[in-house]
Formats: sequence, C-alpha cells, structure tokens
Amino acid sequence: MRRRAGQRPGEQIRAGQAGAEFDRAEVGTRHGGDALVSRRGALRALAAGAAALACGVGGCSRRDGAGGSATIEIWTLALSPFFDNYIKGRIEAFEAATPGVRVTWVDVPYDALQRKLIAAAAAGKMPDVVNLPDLSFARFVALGALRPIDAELDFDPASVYLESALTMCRMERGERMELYALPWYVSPQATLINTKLIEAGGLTLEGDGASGLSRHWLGLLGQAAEYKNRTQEFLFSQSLGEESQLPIMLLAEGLVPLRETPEGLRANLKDPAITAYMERWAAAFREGVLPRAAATIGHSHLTEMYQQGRVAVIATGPQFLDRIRKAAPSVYETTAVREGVSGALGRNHMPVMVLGVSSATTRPREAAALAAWMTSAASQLEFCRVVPIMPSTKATLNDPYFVDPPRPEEGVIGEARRVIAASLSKSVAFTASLETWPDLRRAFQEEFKRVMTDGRDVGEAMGRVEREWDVLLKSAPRATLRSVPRPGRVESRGGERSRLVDRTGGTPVPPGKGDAGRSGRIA
Amino acid sequence: VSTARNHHPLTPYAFLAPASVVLAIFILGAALQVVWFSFTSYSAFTPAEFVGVANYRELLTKDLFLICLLNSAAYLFVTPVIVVLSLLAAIAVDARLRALPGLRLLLFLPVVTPAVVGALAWRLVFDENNGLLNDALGVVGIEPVRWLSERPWTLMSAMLVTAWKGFGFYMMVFLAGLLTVPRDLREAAAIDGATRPQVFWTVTLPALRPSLVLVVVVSSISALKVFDEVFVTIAGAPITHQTAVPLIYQLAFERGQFGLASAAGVLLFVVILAFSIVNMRLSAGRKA
Repeated sequence: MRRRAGQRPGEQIRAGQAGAEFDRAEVGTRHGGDALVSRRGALRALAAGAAALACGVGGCSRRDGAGGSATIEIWTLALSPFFDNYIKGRIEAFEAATPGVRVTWVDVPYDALQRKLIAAAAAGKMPDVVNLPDLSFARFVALGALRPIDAELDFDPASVYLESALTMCRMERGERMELYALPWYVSPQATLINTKLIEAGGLTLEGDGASGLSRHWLGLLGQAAEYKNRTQEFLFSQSLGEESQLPIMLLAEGLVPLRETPEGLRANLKDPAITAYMERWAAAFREGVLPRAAATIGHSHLTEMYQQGRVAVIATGPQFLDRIRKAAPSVYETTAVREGVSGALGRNHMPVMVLGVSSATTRPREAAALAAWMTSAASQLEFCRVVPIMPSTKATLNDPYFVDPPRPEEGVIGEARRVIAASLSKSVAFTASLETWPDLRRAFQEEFKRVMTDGRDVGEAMGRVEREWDVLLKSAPRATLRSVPRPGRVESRGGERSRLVDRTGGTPVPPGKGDAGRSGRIA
Repeated sequence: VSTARNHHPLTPYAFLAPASVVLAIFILGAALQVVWFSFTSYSAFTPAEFVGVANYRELLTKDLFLICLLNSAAYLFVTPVIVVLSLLAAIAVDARLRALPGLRLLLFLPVVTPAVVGALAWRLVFDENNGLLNDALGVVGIEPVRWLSERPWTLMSAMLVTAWKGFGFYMMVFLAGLLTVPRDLREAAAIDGATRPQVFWTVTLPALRPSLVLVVVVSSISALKVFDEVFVTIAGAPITHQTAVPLIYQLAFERGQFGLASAAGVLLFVVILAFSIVNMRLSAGRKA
C-alpha cells in the first residue's frame, strides 16, 4: 500500500503517457524538416494535450484491478504522519483478511476536509470510506455524500459500539433510524487544571463550589469573576462564538433548544431559561471575565492559552495532553486532570469521530467491511495504545489497559486515561443527529458572535436565531426529538460515585471502573 | 534562412493552441459552468437541479450578501492608502537614501511573504488580550482596541494587512514610472525657482499619471476580490464583518451550497466589471 497525496496512480500513468505523445510529436517535427511545427505535428500535439487534459479533468482511473481485485479508498483526518505505522498496519491486516480487496489510504488535513471532499465529489472522485468529525457528519449526510450501511453489515452494531456514539450516527427516516456511519474513536472531554494557577487564585481541587473548583459551567463562570478580580487573569475559556459550544452546553444543562410540533421540530430558543443562560455567558464575556478569543477563535485557543499559562482550566479531549507535554513541559508538570466540566445533568460532552461509506462507492459491502474493521474493538484498542483517545467499542473498555490503574511512568496521560474511562459511563455525544444541526449551529454562532462583538441584545438575537432555525427546520426532512440527545440527570453521592438515571443516550459501560481523577492532583 | 514553410499560416495558431485550450477549459469553461450553477441547486454530491433565479433572489433579498458587498466596497478605502504609501516608498528609494542601502529589499519583502504567513503574524500583533499593538497602546494609556472582533476595527485590521502586503509591489510600479521622468525637466523647473514640492506636484506627478492609473485600477480590483487577508486575519469574526469573497467561500465549501455561491460569484463579477469599466472610462476621459 502506498500513501498518496491526492491523485490516483492511474491518472499519473495516463497523463504521463499523453505527455510522452506530445514529446514524440515535437521531436518528430524537429527532425522531419525545416518547419518548426508542421500541421501534422501540431495536430498530434493538440490531440495529446487534449488527451492529457481529458484524463486530468474527467479521470481515467479504474477502480478494479486487472486481476479482478477491487481497490477501495479511505480518507482519514489528520492522522499522518504521526500514526502512519498504525494505519498502514491495520490496512495491511485488512487486505490479508480480505482477499481481492486492495486499500488506498489518503490522509487529509482537518481544516481541508470539507473543501477536499466537496471538490472530490464535484470531480467524481469520492473516496469509498471517509473519516468525519461529528460536526461535519450530519452536513455530509444532508448533502447526500453518505449512504445507509445497515444492510451492508453482518453484525449488530448495537452489540459492539457504545450506545451514545452509535445513536449519533443514526438519522431519522420516517419511523426508522438509518445508520450512516460507524463510530470510531471518541474523546470525552476532560478538565485540565493548572494547579499552580488555581492555587494562586485561591481555589483548590477539593470539593465543588466555594473554594473548590466547580465541576459545572455556571459554577465555573461565577468563580471566574472572582478569580479575575483577584489575579487579573482568566480562570477558564470556552468557544462561545467561533465553533460555538453553547448549543451543546444547552443540551448538557437539560435545556433543549428544540421543541416537537405536529409539523416536526421547531426552535425553542426564546424559552426564558435559555435566554437567561445565554445572557450569563454574554455578560461574562462583556465584563472581561472570559478572554476575547472566546468569541472569534475556536477550540485551538483553549490549548494555546493553556500552554502559555494564560488560562488555568480548560475542557478538552485528553489527546491534547501529549501536545501540551511537548510544547509546555512546565505546564504539563503542574496539570491535574478531572472529568469534563458538565452542565446541570452532570454529563460531559463526548465528540465522536466516525467512518462513513460514500454514496458514490461501487463497492459498498467492501467499504462497510473496511469501516467495520477500522472501528473494531481490536483496531481501537491498538489505536488507544498509540494515542490518548478512547474507544467507541464496549469490548475495548474491558481490556486491562483501561481497567487496571495506569503505570506511574505514564504520568498525567495515564491518569487522564483512567479519569476519562471512568467518566465514559456519564459521557454523551451531545451532537444532535439532525441533518440541519450544522446549519443550526452556524446560524446560532453567527448571531451569538454579534451579541458578543457588536453588543446585540441577547433576547432579540435569540428571536432572530429562532426564526432562522424554523426556516431551516421546515425545509429539512421531518425529524423528532428522538434525534436530539436528552439524557437523564446523573445524581452524585458525596461527589464520588455516580448513579445513572438514564433515559436515552447514556453510555453503558461495565461498572466498577472507579471514579479516577476526582481527587485531582497527579504525581 | 526564411522559407515559405516557416510562415505556414497555422504556425502561430499551433503555438497559441496549448495555452488557448488550457484557458478555454480552466478559465472560460469553469466560468461558464459557474454561470450555469448559479441557476441551479447544486451540492456537488447530487446532480444540479435548475431553480431559475431563486439563488439571485435569495442573495438580493437577504441582508447577508449585501452587507458583505458593502464591506467589499468599504475595503476600497485601502486603495488611497496603498497609493500614498507606495508612492512615498518609491520616492524614498528613488532618492537613493545612502543611509538605508537595503531599503528597496526591506519594502519589497512583504510582497514575497505568503499572504497567509503574513496574516497569521499580524494576528499575533492584533491579539486583543496579549497583542503587541494593544500592549503598546496600553503604555501610552489607550484602552485595548478590539482589532479582531469589533466593527470597524475588524475590516481595518484586514485592510492594514492588505496595505502592508501590497504596497511594495506598487512601489516598484511607481519606481519604474519615476525612472521615465526626464531628469532635465526637474532640473529646469528647479532652475526656474520651483521648490521641491512644486517640482513634485507640477512635473513628477503628472509624468507618473499612467503608473498612477494602473495602480489605482489594479489595487481597487484586488481590494474588491480580497480573500486571504480577510479570511486569515479576521477569521472567526462574524461573517457580516467580512467581505464578499469569504462569504462565497463559506457558502460553497463550508455549507456546500454551490448554486448560491456561484450566484454570489456572478454578482461580484458584474460589480467588478462595472467598476472596471467606469474606472477605465474615467481614465480615458481624462486623457482626452
């Protein structure tokens, strides 16, 4: 298997052949007489050039090899060059286990995925399997880029994958919920805490509230104002404008921004509780309790500011710990990990990476088999050993790697794995499985940016967003609240072990994984 | 030795053909395709569906496109800044300031710096909490400016990057123009008692008129279709703070609405075409 940047090998060969034709035409005329370019030579050159262009534009590659073998292409997101060995190893194992199927792997940068996928579709060169983040997944389903895969699988996905992650991959089609992707790795949010900074601000890791660092968004917001007064620094930040997390945080608070009507889902943003919640965040931003980057820079500002020691607390995926370890060892050394900051429901958000099968594939069965292979328990366990992510497969979580305490030499990263594995039972993929969800979020974030940067009134802004949401929801396939994560509240006892009162979307994992990381400080 | 075969009537066309084919496919063909897409609902994943003028109606009846187009028009204010800066730079370089031997190189450096790299560096300068600029303003007691999030600073920040990136190129245009101004004319004016500013206004500047027209036309068209500087410098600011081309990008590549994006592209093309025609007519009128 050879990794390629973008072009298929067939194209290069054919385009090269056409180029050779052009060279021969040119050379032939040079040796043929006095004229620089004869009529025949010119026509040959034109024909060769046109052939080369036609190959480039229309595509000359064949999917199937000469020996009847099928070649399927998989796109992953920002995994190369760090995980080349892992991906290549899994693909080689798949090829060995699936005779007659060859796999081509293409890795695309995270920010370029949408652009490249749309361009590939326009050129008729869609991959067969594509790795998507949860935020883009619904958009590509809506655009018709993915196909349902229930019929292509020879196993019951519900028996393999965590329920919350799997629910996010299903889309409502009338009464049915069709599966459009398989969940790959998940990265439930963890709270990274710079212990030196919070101590300087008069806060401790013990307890929840008062002088104990709060575990909830609104509690943190209150502490951030005091922290700012005391230190002139920021306690924490969150992406409120660009890549706004507020719609997800609303769901985590148990405030559902959608309501069900006989005509389908409609916006519920003028709900006084929702408006009040938004006003809290807008006010905190305007008062300077949160950094300005909260409005205009997405998630990247969290890790950057944390590494620079400019915020004391962030909620992010555990995979960023490795980056912090390399970029800011002194910050890493003072970092403690707790389970993710949550809303009133006590559940933290769990972003999910998925593998979908392209609607353009001519080999849906093989493509689905590859997606299942890459997301299998064995593949995910191996992946988790390479990078601090969490698996979406139930069986993987029973492995001693997640059950046993981390080795001391694993440091903060090992502790993070323990904390996150323990919190998986409460984690929920709060991304709604609605085709309109990306557009709803975009409409929301554009308006909320203007609340923060242009000083718009929150109530009026929510009214405007509600009208835009209703237009979007009316024009989309009918959906119900089944597609909106509304898990039950987690009841805490003494801030230690949690009891689940799950309605939907909770993630069942074997009990007894402990409540690692609650005590905070890591040696 | 010239022969009849050397002047075969097809020879020039054969030379032109490869470039013409490439241009026809990648420029003209693509442009015509965009016009077609502008009348369709097209997402790249499903076949284009003809919707008439619905995309144009949506763009022209909602605020978003018009606001971004107005921002593009406001961006034209960068043109006079660029003209003045590049002219001053050209005069400084032309005066062969001995104290600054690397001046031309220094002033031209932003032109060869990739726009994205430049814009990212400027983002650090503009950072609202810890940026160099706000720190410097703080030293003299000025409150922090919201360079990257509040109007009108967002657009002005991007314009500053455009001016920084572009003025070196236009400086070279003016420099070439200055070299064509006869030195004896300036000397004659000086002998007749004209002061330096008078020589500049009455001799040098009129002689630079062709260069001036070129710089104004090219820089204003560039301002109307600016993308990199806005897209990177004020990334994350509300789209209503940005110009038309970033909106087109968002419609096409973030929302997958190629039909709507194509219609916006066609409308922007019409605006730029009209602007260019007016610009050229005015220039031609002044010549007459």
